[in-house]
Amino acid sequence: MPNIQITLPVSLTAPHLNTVLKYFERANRISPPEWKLVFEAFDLLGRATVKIGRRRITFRQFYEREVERRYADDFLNDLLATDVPEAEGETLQQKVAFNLLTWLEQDGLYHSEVADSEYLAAYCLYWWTSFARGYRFEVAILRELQTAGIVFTAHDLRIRAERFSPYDLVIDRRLGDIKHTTYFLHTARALPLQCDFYITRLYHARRRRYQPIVILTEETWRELNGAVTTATLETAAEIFPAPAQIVFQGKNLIVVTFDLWKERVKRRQQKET
Amino acid sequence: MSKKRFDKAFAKFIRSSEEKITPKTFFQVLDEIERERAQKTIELQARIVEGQLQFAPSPELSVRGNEIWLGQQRIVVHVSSGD
Repeated sequence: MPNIQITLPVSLTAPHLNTVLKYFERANRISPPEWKLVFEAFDLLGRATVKIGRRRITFRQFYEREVERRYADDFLNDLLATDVPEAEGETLQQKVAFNLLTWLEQDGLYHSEVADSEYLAAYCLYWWTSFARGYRFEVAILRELQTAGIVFTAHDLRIRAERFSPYDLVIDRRLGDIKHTTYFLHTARALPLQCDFYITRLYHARRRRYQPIVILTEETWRELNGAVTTATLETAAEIFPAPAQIVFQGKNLIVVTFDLWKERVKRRQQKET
Repeated sequence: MSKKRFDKAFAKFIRSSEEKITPKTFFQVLDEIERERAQKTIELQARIVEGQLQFAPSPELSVRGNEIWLGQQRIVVHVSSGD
């Protein structure tokens, strides 16, 4: 067994590490100030290092080179073969997560005698879960589009390079992306939106559940046609199924339910054939 | 922190399918992190001259007309009509 040494960044404090454990133990009891520590912690952990023998790499590099390359392709192949991607995908995700921890233990990378190795395991599990959840949603959406008879082309998830493409699918020459959460709108405040439409989920605060939606540029919506009602992202769900027009970074975006959008796209494609 | 405690926590996490955070809290926390990351605020004064933005000289940043030089970046600010 090679000598393994973990080094955490000095900026990672005891409160950060405590909230990492709390995240896994009881995330539903985490307060907003603690969530801030959680996000900071997983960001900082990316810069922690693991030395295996004479080789030293960051946690982020370890995840990308060792974890993702080991598990991603098989997971995605299995996911694509399921009948119900979200539900069956969850079982696959869990199976890989347990296998990941077993592998880390067997290789001495998550071991009671290796100080701070639990944080390497935590980091890998956090990002594995994020990866798997995102692709479960994406595959479920693509399957629904196929079932609805919508004509589209999508990147091939089985090819790693294609997973990094700036868009996931093309419908009627419009570029689309599938996002598990609306977090992309937050990062879009620094980097402009590149796609014409985004299939994602909106949280309905009153019903306390997520609803699949599509966010489109005005030009893309114009091709599908329909009156809109002014709203915000927070209030859009209250006026569904009516399409909502929101303002984001000074531009109008249209927010519609996934079902309404599918209906309009199908109708348009049928008219054109 | 004992490995046993982490083992138990990881197993619980893996088996749980519930969402961990509401979007409202998520974005509030991200906003706060970003505000803290902006370690220094630099304020610039400007006026519109013949439809173009004109920055007043600043001791903290290199500015000329409607341009700002920051490190290796040249930032050009245009005024839009808002249509």
